[in-house]
Amino acid sequence: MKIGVIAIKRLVGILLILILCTLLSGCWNYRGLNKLSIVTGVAVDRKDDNNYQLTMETVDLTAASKESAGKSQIIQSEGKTMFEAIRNAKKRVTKKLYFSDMKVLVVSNQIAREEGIKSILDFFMRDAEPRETVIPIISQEKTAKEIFAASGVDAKIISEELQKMIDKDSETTASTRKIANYQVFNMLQGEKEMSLVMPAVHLVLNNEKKVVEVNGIAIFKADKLKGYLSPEDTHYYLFTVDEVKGGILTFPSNEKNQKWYDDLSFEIAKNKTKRSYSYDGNRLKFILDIKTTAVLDEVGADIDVIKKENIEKIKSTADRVFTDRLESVIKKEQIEFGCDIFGIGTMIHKSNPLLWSQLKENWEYYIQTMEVEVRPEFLIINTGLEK
Amino acid sequence: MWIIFLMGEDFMIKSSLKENKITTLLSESLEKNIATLKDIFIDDDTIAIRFITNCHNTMLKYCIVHNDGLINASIINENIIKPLMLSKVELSRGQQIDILIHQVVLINQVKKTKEWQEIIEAVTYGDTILFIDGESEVLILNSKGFNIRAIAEPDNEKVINGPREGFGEALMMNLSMIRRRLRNNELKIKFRSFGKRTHTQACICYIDSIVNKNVLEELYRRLDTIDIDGVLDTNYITELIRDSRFSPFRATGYTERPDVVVGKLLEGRIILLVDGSPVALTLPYLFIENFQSNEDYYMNFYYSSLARFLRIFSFILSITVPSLYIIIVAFNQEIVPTTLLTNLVRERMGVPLPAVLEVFVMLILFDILKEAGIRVPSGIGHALSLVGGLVIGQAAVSAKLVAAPMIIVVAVTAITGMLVPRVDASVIYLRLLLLILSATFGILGFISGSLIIMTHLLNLHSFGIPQLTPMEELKYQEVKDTFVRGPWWKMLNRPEVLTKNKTRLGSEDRGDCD
Repeated sequence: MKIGVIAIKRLVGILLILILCTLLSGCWNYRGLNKLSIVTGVAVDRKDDNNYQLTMETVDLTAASKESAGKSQIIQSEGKTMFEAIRNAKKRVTKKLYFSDMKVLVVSNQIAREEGIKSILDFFMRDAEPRETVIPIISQEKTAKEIFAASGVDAKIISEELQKMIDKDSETTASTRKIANYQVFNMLQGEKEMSLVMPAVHLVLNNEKKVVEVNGIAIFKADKLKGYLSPEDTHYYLFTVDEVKGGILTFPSNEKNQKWYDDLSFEIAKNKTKRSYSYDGNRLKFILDIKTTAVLDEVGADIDVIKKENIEKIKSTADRVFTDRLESVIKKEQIEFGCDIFGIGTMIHKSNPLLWSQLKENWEYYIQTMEVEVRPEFLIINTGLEK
Repeated sequence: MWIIFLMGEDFMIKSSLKENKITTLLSESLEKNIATLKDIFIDDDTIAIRFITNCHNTMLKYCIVHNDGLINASIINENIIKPLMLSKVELSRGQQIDILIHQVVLINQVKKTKEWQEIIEAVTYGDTILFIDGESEVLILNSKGFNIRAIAEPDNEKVINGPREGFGEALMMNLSMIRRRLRNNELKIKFRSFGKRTHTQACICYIDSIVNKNVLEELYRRLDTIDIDGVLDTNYITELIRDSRFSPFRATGYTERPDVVVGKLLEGRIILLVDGSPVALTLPYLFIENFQSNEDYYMNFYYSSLARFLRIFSFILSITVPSLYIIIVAFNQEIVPTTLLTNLVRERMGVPLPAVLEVFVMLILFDILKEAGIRVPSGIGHALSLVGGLVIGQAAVSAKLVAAPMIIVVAVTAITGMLVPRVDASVIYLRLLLLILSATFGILGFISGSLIIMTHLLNLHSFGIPQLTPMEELKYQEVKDTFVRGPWWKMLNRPEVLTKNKTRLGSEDRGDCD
């Protein structure tokens, strides 16, 4: 009799566990793999005054043969809000649109400039399916959907190619700055110490086909697009925020050269930027200690790089040219946009909150009048070999 | 029902009559005894009865009884009949039994008895019974001589390195193999018989100074409760005495190899051998023994450790792979990289069954194939592998009945399951449990299923000894023969849970045991 009671108790226990499972589970609903359409990227354009136009790039799975592997499909839809537009797309397709593998969100520059991006990114942050690591991108073309119409070079799916390009960018070309959706949100919330920057892309002709190319960064004031930095400027900008992991720097070998053309290439092996500031009661000073380890990879001039004095000369030239260029990039930014894309506000807020509360009222003024001091330290560890 | 009951009662009356006959005491009269014997073995023509009279004293009458086919005829002729017939020893009717033992019969094992029950068991085991006229006791003379299978390597415990000898069906031969490897007086071998009708001989072996006395006591207590008709294999006893009887996991170990038996004895375990079965029962059983193989100790410890790890890993894979697949394709697609996901989707396009059903069908199909492979006569094995591998594997995929990843999942499940034959039954059930839970609740079902399994495993005991050691009681020394097989010079102690006498290597006063 007693054994029976114990057995019933156990059974009830197991049943309770199972029932609790159903309550605890968040998104556990069964969805067959073959009923999904995997969305890899979304482009947002303005259709008319009322409607957005969404262009979704999905993995083409209609032809299951190997030849068509990795092809993409385009689904377009319109709606007053993001979610409505996505729901409207369902009218055109049989499968469920699946956003967990979405890589990029391309926003047309028109919307970004005129309406701001917050209202567009919100859905992709709030909904359960899309990841918070989706990379938002600004299209420099007339519309955003043109980006997906380009032909891919490595991958046939443009979103995938874009994501990989931007992902590896800081290690190789250092021509843009990667940012994830959640980081955009963090920047747009609260004190807004730092201005938002986003990768920008445009289309170029490559072998008579239009392909996408990463083209610097887009600069925002609050959530509205203000302008762009070119890829080369972006490289120097990345030095100021300590985001350089690689890339190429080119310098002239001889300063006295009239034209100042670059004939030396350095590959950056390692870079460390120490950022600091000073405030004298009137003006801010942004101080950058940049320690760069580089490899001399190309010598386009008649210089014997084995000789120590020549290397020293190259180094001092590089230091000077680097400082000049970096300062000019910062100047240009100060004059053209006047917003804090360097994160100086964040730095001050963290180290001296009192000063920050004092400065934040006129923050734009302080940025525009800010002085810059660059202290580069260029270290050439290798001059390569001639075979 | 009523009729069956009546028949049952009738049968009981008859058999009790027979019992009565057996319990009647031996008489002094030879004729009476033989008549009773004939009555006992009525309708059994293998019982041979032979009367003998001494040629020097015709008053001395004997009768020998044996079972044809179980005896060595030359022993009976030369060592029993001949001396009885030709004996010139001074014998008198009624007082000769001890003199016969000491001076006449040339047999190594002789036993006096008055019990019919004992006589029956002896005759049916190949002994010869000597009835003596005028004595109310008989002699049981050892004359066993039956054919047994030659010693061979057990098929399911093959090794590349190490001894090849395996147990056979004859108990004494098996014991000889153990004894040869353990030549000391501490090896205790106790006989017992099981089965109300089969009277199967069994024996319990242990090393007196190492064995855990509590376990031994518990074993005897459980063996005493056995009340079964017949014992044909060790598993009969296993299931009767094991802990947590409904658990799919083993609570006792088994082996067909004398070297393994001695290894277990040296760790403080108890062995139970059953006559007629080559399988020895070892107890207590730790969970890790599922993943140990005797070859681990015969090979380089680097290789053995890798093999250990692979077995444990395979065990986990074999249980979880189908449910993980279901979770990926039906619930949590976001946990796989996009490339893998698109490939999976592409393979699943146009497949009629939902993934869950597909997994069930394929797993059951695999178990059918496996069972067929075991039962099929060896001649048609090729046809089976052809049909199984080609038709179910290749053709089903190209006909788009089954998705290709499914075949991989089943193959991985099957192969990993084969690495751990000692848990194969439990693996099948746990796999299904996890599969059902995962198919209904997704990853949460999987996690709760795993928790249920872990709870069950931690609850398992073998003769009062926990099969899994809880983490907080884990000691460095104890891990040396689990996930890895430590080198012999590092395994200083015996498993602590099994024995109090724990020093295996070196002297007792060594300070560095943990």
